[in-house]
Amino acid sequence: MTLKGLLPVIQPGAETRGGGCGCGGGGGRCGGHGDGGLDRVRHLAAETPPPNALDPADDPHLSGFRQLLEREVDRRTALGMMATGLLAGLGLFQTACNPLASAESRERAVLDWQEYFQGNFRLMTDTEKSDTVHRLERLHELRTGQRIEVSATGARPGVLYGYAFNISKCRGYMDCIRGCVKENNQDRRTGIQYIRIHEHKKGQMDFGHAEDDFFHEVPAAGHFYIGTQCFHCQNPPCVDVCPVKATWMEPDGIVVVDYNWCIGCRYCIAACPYDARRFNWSEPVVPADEVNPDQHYLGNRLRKRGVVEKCTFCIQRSREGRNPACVEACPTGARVFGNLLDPDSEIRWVLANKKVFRLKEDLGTEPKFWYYMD
Amino acid sequence: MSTVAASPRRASLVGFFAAGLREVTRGRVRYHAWMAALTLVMLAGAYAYSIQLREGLAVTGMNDHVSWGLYISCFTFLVGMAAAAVILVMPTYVLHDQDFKSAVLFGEGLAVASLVTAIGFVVVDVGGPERLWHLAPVIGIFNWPRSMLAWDILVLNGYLVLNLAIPFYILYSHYRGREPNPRYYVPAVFLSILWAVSVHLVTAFLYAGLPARPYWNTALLGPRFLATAFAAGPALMILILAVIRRNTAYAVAEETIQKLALIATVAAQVGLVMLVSELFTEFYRTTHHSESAEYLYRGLEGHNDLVPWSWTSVALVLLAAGMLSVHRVRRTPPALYLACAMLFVGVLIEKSIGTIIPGFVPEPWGKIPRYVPTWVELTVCTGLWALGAFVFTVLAKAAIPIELGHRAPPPAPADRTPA
Amino acid sequence: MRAALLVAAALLLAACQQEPVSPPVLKIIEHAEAPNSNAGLSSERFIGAGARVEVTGYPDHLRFHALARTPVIEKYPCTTCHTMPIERMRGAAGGPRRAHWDVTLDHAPPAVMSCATCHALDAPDRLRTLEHRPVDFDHAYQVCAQCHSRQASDWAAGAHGKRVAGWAPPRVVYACAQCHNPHHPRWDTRWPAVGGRPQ
Repeated sequence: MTLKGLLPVIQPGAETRGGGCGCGGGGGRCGGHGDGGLDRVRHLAAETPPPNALDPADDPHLSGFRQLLEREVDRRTALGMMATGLLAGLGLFQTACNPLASAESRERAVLDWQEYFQGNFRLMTDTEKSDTVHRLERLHELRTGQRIEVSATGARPGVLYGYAFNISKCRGYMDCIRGCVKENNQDRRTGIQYIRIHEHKKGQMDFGHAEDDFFHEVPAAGHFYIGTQCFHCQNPPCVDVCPVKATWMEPDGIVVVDYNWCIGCRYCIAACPYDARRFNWSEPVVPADEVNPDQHYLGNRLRKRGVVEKCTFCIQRSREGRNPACVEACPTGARVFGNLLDPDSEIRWVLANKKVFRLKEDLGTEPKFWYYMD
Repeated sequence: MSTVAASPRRASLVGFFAAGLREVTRGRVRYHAWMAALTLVMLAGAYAYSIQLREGLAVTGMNDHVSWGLYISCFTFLVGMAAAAVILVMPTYVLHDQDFKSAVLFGEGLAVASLVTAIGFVVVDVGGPERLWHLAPVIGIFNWPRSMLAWDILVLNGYLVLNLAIPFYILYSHYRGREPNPRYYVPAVFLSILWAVSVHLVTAFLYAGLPARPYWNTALLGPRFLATAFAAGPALMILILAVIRRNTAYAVAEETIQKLALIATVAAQVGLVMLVSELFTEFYRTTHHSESAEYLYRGLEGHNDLVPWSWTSVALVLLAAGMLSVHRVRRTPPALYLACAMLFVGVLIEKSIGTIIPGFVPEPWGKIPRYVPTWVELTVCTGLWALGAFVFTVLAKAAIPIELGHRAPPPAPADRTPA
Repeated sequence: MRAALLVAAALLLAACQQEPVSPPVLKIIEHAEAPNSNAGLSSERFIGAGARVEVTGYPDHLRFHALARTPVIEKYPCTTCHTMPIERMRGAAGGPRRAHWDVTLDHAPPAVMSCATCHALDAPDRLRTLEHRPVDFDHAYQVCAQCHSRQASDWAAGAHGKRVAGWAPPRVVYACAQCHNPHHPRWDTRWPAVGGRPQ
């Protein structure tokens, strides 16, 4: 059968090939013969073109259009083409054009579509940013019925965040990890944790000999504890390597990830010397009653699988003047946080008066996370 | 060889592709069996990939510490195979060495197949393949020149275009029964030679530029990549040419094979020298920086997963280089093919898992992570390798008849000399 | 050919521009303008309703507050019960020992410290310094600072102890006794809040 035979009313003036019925319908759609569609198909199949005739695809006298439509295809190919067309139509039907879907699912389809095509957050205007976060809020509400607030607060001028960790004070309680997980809506299924607490034997600074998957009463005799997380380097190697610039350092020093822009190549994970980054290998799951509704676009909003995430110094809190969740959760006061540009800040006093050091300083990453002892 | 079909071929671009398509879809039983087997493996790979798309990369064995695994390992090796096409291109077009002429198109075909497969490995490795358009320059952001991955995308795709365009032009000229014009293809060939070296250097720089991974952060990584690529590439080429010799009427000059073997030998020897240099630097006085090499060659604190692989690879390469260094061996086909196969497998192991996995072990805070590929990863991997073989077979199958002169179109009426 | 080389040269030159490398953080700090308004942010709304007292005696630091203790001490004022000198209370007829009879002092060796070291037993609503100066419970840090002077100056600066709620001004910190039980200041071992999941 010809392709044209399957498409009703394509070329009204064209000659039909092989089919005696000129109605243009094929495959049983022509009801004019009364013997049912099957006989019609048999008729078409029986009427093969004469052996010397040129394949329409090769006939230089036909227009390209006719070359395509009048081409001989076998039944299987024809059915395949029909199926493809149907599927394409179905796809259209499933989305916003579907008049049978509810207003909500149509709205959801539109928002999903817009979210897919959004640009990189850093390049957006304020209006676009506002639209983006409102879209995320609305999408979450449509999906779960829950109301959240996604902030797009920018970096505060004159602020550069710094962090100090008192090794003498840390007792391995891991309250910081619990606070972080609750605050930042991390995947409960895989148990992503941004913070790692390393239990070192006294006299051994080498991390290779420290334990970090311990679970016993703390502090264990003869041991001390060091916590690591993203150090928000001033010279971040992860930012350099990202092929789409989905991660960058904000003016206030926080290294952030645009989760909607990240393509999941994991080059940044390879580049980070501090094991700061985590990847969502599967769809992250947070129970509805544990979702923290106060979110920031670049911080603790709910991520999807296939994107990288990491500590953001609780950007949703720190940009409002609050301490990150780890600082607030630590019962021993081992964590100090503040504005490096404020000479009266606690962090500046620590840097000026305590013997501070940073990890892997020789790599030139300039982390904004110092360690000190009493 | 197949006979010319009943209908005349058109002397045009469409005719060229139609002729190629017709050629690719017919052949002897063994050809169809080969293609069917490859298709089956590709389908299995597609099924496994569909599982990965549905569940996420959690179905692979990768984790936050070993965040690149089998996929990127194979990618690394295949980029080297692609670069090795230059071994055939350079002598043919620059040195006008006729002995390589019979094989150069297959070298470029191998480059195309390797590149397609390598790009395929990157696509299956990313967490968000539907967001890959973010890489495009105007509609997305392309972090060039800072990100080495951006460089890699540029050079790989550019090299793919070159290796499609040059053979296409030459084949199409032959199809039309005329000689290709050197003014068009020679500059492109020069470019592709430079590009071939840059392709593998850039890929090496991807890894070498990361101070976070001391195993990779060495100046020798790029040169080692090149040396082993120029050993394994010609080795595979020899095996492919042997298959072509056996199954088609296409004549492959013996000198081609011999020169390829010589190149592979020398490259393997250079590669071994580099390996010795690497081993000495790592093991003369071991430091924290040698831990990755220790993990690879000796095992680290009881973790010995890669040790048998690394020593097998060293043994294979050593033995193959030794065999190939003997002139008689190179002249004896069975021994030559065995040595080439050993060289290929040895370099494959070393340049894939022997390069990528130790880079992540130990992780930045000194712990030793484990990585074991899952069946999904292995199936997708074999599916992609089958794709590469499929692409190469298609290209070779379409090219051979043209080269044999069977596919030239009948002369147009104006060209017929009057009776 | 020449054109191709020129293009390649141009590309290489374009590629050789490096992203500006940030100066070391300490250099940035050196050149920071002072004073800094912290972008006008305030952590006031996060601090909560707890009463606070201004900490005195640290002129080197900006004004800061500590959380008041007297509103949260369960048995305060002490004179509610301590209506007579303690010797008389001990022997009072019909009086079983009630509140905080079970307080044992596990702070310093007996040669160094007893209840009377910090508590003014004759005026129980206040603490006392070694020189018998009365100190309000809300300013108990003055008592602790006598021996723990290093910790106290660290605490005043922010390197010891904990800030309430936010990094932005105003600065309110936890008082000593909020973290350290004065009668038993050493922290016991306990189980971690969660298990570590490093991978």
